[in-house]
Amino acid sequence: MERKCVINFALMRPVIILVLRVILGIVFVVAAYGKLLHPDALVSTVINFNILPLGLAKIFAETLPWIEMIGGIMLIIGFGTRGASFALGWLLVSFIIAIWINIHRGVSMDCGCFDLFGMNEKIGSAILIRDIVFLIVAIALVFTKEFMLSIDTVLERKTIK
Amino acid sequence: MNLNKSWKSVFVITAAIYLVSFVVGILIHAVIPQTETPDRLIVPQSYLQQISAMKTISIEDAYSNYTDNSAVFIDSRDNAEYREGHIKGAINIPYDRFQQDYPKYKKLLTNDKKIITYCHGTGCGLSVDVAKDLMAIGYSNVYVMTEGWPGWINANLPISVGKEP
Repeated sequence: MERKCVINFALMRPVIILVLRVILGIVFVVAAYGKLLHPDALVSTVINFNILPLGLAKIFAETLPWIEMIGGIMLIIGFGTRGASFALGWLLVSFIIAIWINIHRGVSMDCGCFDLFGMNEKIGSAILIRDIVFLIVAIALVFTKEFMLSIDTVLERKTIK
Repeated sequence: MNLNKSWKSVFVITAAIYLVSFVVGILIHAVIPQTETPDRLIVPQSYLQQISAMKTISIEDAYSNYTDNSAVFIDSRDNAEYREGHIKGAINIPYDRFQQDYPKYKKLLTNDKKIITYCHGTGCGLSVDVAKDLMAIGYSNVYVMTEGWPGWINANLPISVGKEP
């Protein structure tokens, strides 16, 4: 009798979620690290986006890398995963709006997304699409019940016991 | 885990991440000063003589003209430096290309807006040269922003890179 090899997506789902969660976490940690190395460049970038007033732009630039760093680490270790995804999701929404506005204005400017390895990306539709993909992943994580290999799951099992 | 019941914890964690990041960011910024103080510059006497004959403008005043769109900024450095970064919206008239480049921007340079020239900052005479050229052909509203590009950058004011607007 011939046995059909069927990929069971229901079984694969936790693994896919795990991979996406860790990748998104690493992306944010790397992005945060680059920003923390060049704080002045980040302030200039945020001001250049020309959306927030000067004072708020500086506060945003000082806060942003830490949200990315803390949120990213939480995703990787799977602690408060849904909350971290929610926090990073709103961050991505703000990036998407800011980039979209500046593309619409016709401004050619540095994205400041990953200020590392000499990366000097200009804002454009590719970066917009990339952020939308990240946002979709973040939303998927917010609506996920259980996370494989996560502190959340360990803690929850302890509470049930 | 009941997804709906746990929304509260999602919001709490999000708020906590934002709050902690805000506090850490502000504290680190307070502990480590981010902007380097520029070295003392030795300003040539010839520059001081030249600049004393010009109208000059501070970064603060230039920025207030920038925000209410009452000035045109001219970057008088060379085109390669301009492309690396310039005041947002500034046009590029390199000091040695005034005759060739001025006609391109003639329409923008009117007497109802300030014309602010800048270059590498205190001691840099390129912006003075361009300002003199403009005054020679009849403009009276020309100002030299003596603190120049470094002053603008240190104040974290809007810049852009690449080609002209």
